[in-house]
Amino acid sequence: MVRSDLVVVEDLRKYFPIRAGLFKAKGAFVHAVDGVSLTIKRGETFGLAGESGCGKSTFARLLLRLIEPTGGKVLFDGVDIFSLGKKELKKVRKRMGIVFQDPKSSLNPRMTIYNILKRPLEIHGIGSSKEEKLNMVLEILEKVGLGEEHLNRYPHELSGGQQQRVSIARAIITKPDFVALDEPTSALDISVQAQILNLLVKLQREFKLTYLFITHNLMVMQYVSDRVGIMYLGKVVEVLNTREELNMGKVYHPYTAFLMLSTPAVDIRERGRNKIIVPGEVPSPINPPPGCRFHPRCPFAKEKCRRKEPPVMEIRKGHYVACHFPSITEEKLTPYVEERMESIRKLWRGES
Amino acid sequence: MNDGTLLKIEDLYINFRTDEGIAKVIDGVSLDIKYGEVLALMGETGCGKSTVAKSILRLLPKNAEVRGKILFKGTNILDLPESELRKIRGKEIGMIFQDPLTALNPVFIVGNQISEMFKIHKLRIKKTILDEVVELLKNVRMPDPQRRYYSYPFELSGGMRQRAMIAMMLAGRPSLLIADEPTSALDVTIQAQILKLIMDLRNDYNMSILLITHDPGVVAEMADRIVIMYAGQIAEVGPVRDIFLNPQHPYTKGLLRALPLGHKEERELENIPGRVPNLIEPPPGCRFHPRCPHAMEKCKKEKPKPVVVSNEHFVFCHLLRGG
Repeated sequence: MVRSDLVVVEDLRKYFPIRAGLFKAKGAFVHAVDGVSLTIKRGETFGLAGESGCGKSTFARLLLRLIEPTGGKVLFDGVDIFSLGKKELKKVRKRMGIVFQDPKSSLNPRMTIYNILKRPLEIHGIGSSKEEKLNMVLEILEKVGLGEEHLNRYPHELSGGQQQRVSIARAIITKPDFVALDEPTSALDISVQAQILNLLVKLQREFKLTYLFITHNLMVMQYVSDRVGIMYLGKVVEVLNTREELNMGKVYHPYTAFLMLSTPAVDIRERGRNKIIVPGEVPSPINPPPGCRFHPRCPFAKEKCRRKEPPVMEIRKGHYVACHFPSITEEKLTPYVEERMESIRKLWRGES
Repeated sequence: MNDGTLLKIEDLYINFRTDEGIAKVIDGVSLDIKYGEVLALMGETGCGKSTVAKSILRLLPKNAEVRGKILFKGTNILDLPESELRKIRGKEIGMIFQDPLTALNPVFIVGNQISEMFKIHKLRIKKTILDEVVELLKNVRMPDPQRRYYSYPFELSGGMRQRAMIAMMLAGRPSLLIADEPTSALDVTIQAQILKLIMDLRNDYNMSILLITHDPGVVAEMADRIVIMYAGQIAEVGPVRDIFLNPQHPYTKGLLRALPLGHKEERELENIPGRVPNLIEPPPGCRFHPRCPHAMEKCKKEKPKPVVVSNEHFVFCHLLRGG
């Protein structure tokens, strides 16, 4: 454990038993998170990307111990959170916040904004007087771009963007070190998404926050994160630096490459080129494929991929790939991803 | 009509009567779709893009008041009696939606739901109906089509359900497909498969497509021309390249610059301040003016008329007038 590491995850696993009808006692499990190890550094935004059902939301809930793991460890600032008693856990929780995708369902419709924001202060015994709490609520509202006029409103009176600002305020009012953001902009329109992303970046700088940013949207990911993990069927298949690697298209797991090539990305000059599309669908996490979990969809799969699970290899400093044959991706897919990202960068810089 | 226009919408106004008052949801929209063309209707939540799409098939709820003309192959759909409309809806014009699970009937197998199309529209069958349906399922690249004929919707993945919906739509061999956010609920790898399928089918079946979406990426990959809508008005219309590479309307520009195409260390995302207006009392003149950085006195009073930028590229903005 290095001082710069805030969250260290070791071989984290979560299997959900399937309790349905006849198969009640059959011992079938959904392997939602299946042996994930990674570290999140102080002050960074670690992005976790993947398609639905890959286990990314379960992972976020485990990091805050909102659910109990099947196995593995989460060290938060050196403390194993799964070994903590109720009281100690509460102390650690004060240093963590979470924001969900849908603010409508995560804000209590019967509570005013003031009451919603006051709750975390009460739970953690922050602020002695009523007045002090009110001032803290007002201060945080201003930080997220809302004001006194919103205090006595109810969530349904606010727009989607404003509701998400309230969720963010609630997550950071206890002055946490770490915030898990689970698809925080996925339900929002593009112009509102931009406002919320700018806000999150601003708050991170001001309060020195560490973020776990979960999204299925790779464009959002490449903007907001410092490092990225790509998940597929309960496993992390690639971890890399955002600015120097992901955004330059330097990806070496075939799934990462396919994800990036599948994302429609407004690079209009790319049209008409032969598109590379990954066939098939994500298999069920109940009986994940043996060997490499991506092998049934991977056009480069060999015998070894069907038998043996690929180990995580550090192919460059800080760049990890779980694939038996990263050199095949490097030869067959990486050049297309690089080209694509170059074209997107041109748009970003306003060159046409 | 023989100028290559399949569908022509003229001066469409749609109001909704609500408890709070009359919402002026569509405020004078005109557009046309040519044979074989993919026209995208793009805008954010509440801009009216789905309302326009639904009005074409007269699927709007009873509290809607529709004025204007919707000419399909020269016939005004808004004037048709219900019996004539049924011959067009689902046959001449097919529609697919964002969420196929709510559009498919959960208690019938997929095969029956598709074969029903043949019965309703009295379509000609060459082989047995089972063969016809399996053929359609093959055309939409449904894996294992014989088996999937007997599947219930809940047994299918999101991508397969969308394929089933598309197969149902194809049965009538429509000349126009209205696709309302067809891939917004799907994962990106599946989205890519479905978008490619729709484009392949356009060629195989010779369809025109009206694509409704909020996603500029999907538009950039699919559309021939784009209509940008804001709060019930058209902001800009043009060929896809012109809109993306040479946008003129302040709203279009703002939308494209709000896209996260680089890294946060490089620059902040541009954002459009304010929020979408209330359509019960919409802003007069150009409805974008309260959020527009360049708004002038004129913008508050007069609704802008289209200004020609180049061939087929029009912008509804006073700034461009005479410029």
